[in-house]
Amino acid sequence: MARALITHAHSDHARPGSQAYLCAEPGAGLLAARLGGKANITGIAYGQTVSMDGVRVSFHPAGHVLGSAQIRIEHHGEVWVVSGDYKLDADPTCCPFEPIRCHTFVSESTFGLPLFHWPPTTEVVADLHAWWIANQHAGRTSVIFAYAFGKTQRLLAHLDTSIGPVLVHEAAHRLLACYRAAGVPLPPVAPATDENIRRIAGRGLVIASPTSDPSALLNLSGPPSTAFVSGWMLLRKMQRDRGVGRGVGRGFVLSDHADWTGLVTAIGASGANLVLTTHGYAEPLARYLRENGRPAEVLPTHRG
Amino acid sequence: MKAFAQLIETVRATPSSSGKVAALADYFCRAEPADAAWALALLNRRRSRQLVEPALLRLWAAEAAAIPLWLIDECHQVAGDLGETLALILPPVAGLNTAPRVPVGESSPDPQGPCPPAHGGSAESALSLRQLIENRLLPLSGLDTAAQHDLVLATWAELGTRQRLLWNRLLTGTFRIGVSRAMLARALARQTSIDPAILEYRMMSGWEPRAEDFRRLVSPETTLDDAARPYPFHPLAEPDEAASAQPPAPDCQVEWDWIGQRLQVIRRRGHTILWSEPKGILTDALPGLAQAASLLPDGTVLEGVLSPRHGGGGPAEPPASASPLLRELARRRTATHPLLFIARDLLESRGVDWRIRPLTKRREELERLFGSTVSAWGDAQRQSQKRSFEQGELFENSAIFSRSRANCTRTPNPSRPPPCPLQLSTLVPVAGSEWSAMRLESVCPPGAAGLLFRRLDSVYGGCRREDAWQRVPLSRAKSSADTAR
Ligand SMILES: [Zn+2]
Ligand SMILES: [Zn+2]
Repeated sequence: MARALITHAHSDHARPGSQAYLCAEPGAGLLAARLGGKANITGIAYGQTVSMDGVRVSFHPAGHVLGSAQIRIEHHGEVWVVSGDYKLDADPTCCPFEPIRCHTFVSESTFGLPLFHWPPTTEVVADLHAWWIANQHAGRTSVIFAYAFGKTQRLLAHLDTSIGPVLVHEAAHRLLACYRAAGVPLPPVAPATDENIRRIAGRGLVIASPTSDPSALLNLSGPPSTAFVSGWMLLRKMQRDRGVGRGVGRGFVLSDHADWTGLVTAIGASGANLVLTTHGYAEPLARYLRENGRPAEVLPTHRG
Repeated sequence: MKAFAQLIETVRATPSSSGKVAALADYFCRAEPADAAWALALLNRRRSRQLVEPALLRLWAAEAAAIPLWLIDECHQVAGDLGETLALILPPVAGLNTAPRVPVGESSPDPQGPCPPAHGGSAESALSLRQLIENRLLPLSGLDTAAQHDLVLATWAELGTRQRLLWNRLLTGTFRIGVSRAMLARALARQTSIDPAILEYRMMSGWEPRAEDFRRLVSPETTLDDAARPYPFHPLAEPDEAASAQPPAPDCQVEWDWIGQRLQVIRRRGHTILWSEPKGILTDALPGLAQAASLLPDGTVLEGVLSPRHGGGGPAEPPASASPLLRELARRRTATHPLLFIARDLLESRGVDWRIRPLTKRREELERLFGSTVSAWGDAQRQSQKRSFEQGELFENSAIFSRSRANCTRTPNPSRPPPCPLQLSTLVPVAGSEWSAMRLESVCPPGAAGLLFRRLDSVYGGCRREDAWQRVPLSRAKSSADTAR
């Protein structure tokens, strides 16, 4: 591709191989970190319009992660908005979702079933703090598995670091500079090296990658208390799949995607007369919208 | 209610049983007795039955959440559990459509009426566990469908997701949790500093989920009832067919494996209790045995098997083809003509728990006890026979201990009392030359199914490999063929 418009720097939305990349300004640094130094990246401020071949393009906050954007495309008065990933819940690490009126709204639908209603973030964070403190009383290191980009930094912004020392997975730690450069205040934390983990054993909290091996931590810190942080943790089935009740002690429900109410609200606010659903439970969401008087189709996800 | 729903979550998510016990202890020490009573009932034994059809709940949830049925089914497929699906699809309190079906002003389900649902408030209900069960759950069984609908929806409207899940499970009778009675006893013991064994026993005895019953259950005062507490029986393995030809290891104790009800004979504070699982207390049902057991010293608990008196020419079971009269006579005869208790282990002696001592030590103590008890029993029999004889009685009481009604002479010989209903399990010699499956089968007494092997260093109720009981079956058919030859 000659020129790629990027909603955000998650790997399923930003693939290398294009000659030039356009993204929202606050995400440019992260995209560079993800794609490597040689990529030709242009950051455009939220709301600023650029014209390309008679098409007017602008980026608008999606509230998903730092620098995430919905892309508005206008051609001959016809407006499309491509949501990328988005959420409506407040997140101290990024600009809040901004509803944009359009004719056609391409909406993600990762959690497009009415099963998914997120609990208030403050409640989840309070539970997480209580869990951390209980682990300290039991002399156990707390280990949270969370995605390196987005979830880790959001957690960091919410954590009360007066409870104890916090370490983050090294891949996530490398991204902290981009956050600080974008003006997101995050507490100072050290990377989760073996040595650091040994040092904070029994009282600290480690934010680890979901793919990291908990048994490696066992040698460093004694048996840790582990938890998984994701919207999927709302479902017992997913908790069991993640080992909650066996190896993993807890599942905390915190997602960077819109829940059912968020999706329906955002779609309503777009005023779109055609909704194209993509990613996740696209089929039931589209059918539900149609039955409620809003034309909707599934947009096949194209991969590769 | 909120605390209980939270407890269920924690117990489910905690892998270790010590962690579960800690969570339970924490709950019980904070809960109001009335709530704790219901919590204990739910955790311990009480299975709620289905009060509302799951299909109806699905319809009602669709209505309350304003979601089409196909979408509920879609969700059900993803979540894999209907109770959970319905708990999750209901939107937070304010968005719930709870229009009543019963016109306002008509009969309400309980005298005070259910608490008015707190519309638009936070998702956390002020409803206590007791209120949920007594004012919402139990009244459902007396209501028609329309009134059930209103009560279920009004309750959903008040509850957060976790609480709704619990409520749905109670409604459909599917509340389950992996907590054993022993774990509950350990949790309550932390709060009360009462011996978990006593708590466990109290939980097994009759109580209702009421505040006063819960207070009594955890009361530090030990009552006479507590003196009756049995020990948990050692797990009984299935007979091991493959092991039949193997001579035993030299460090094993071998005895006959009797068929019958497992029983504990408990003698404490001057009281005698006969305890069997699952039947419970059998003291009144076995007066002869209870009388003999009252000769045991205080602070004694024996474990063994209640076996029909086969040996010694006892009454045989009448064949199924026998006339009803004959069978009735036999039934009465067994009613007064008791079963034998064959003691094979000693769990408590002189008020001290002996279970963790090695089998050799327990057996020694058991034999010592039996020596003195059986001779005391013989003396008592001679006394009572003599008295009955002198008084010209028909010898009814002591006849229960005699070999059989048929063999019983009306003029007993005081020098030869009938065998004591407490019998010591006889050991089978294991010396190499003695060991032959065929020989064993030919001497296997009636009422025994085979051999029981236990390691000399095994402890009672232990779960190590070496504590396991090994049961070796012997073929009865073969033995009778041998005898006939
Ligand atoms: Zn994303
Ligand atoms: Zn995505």
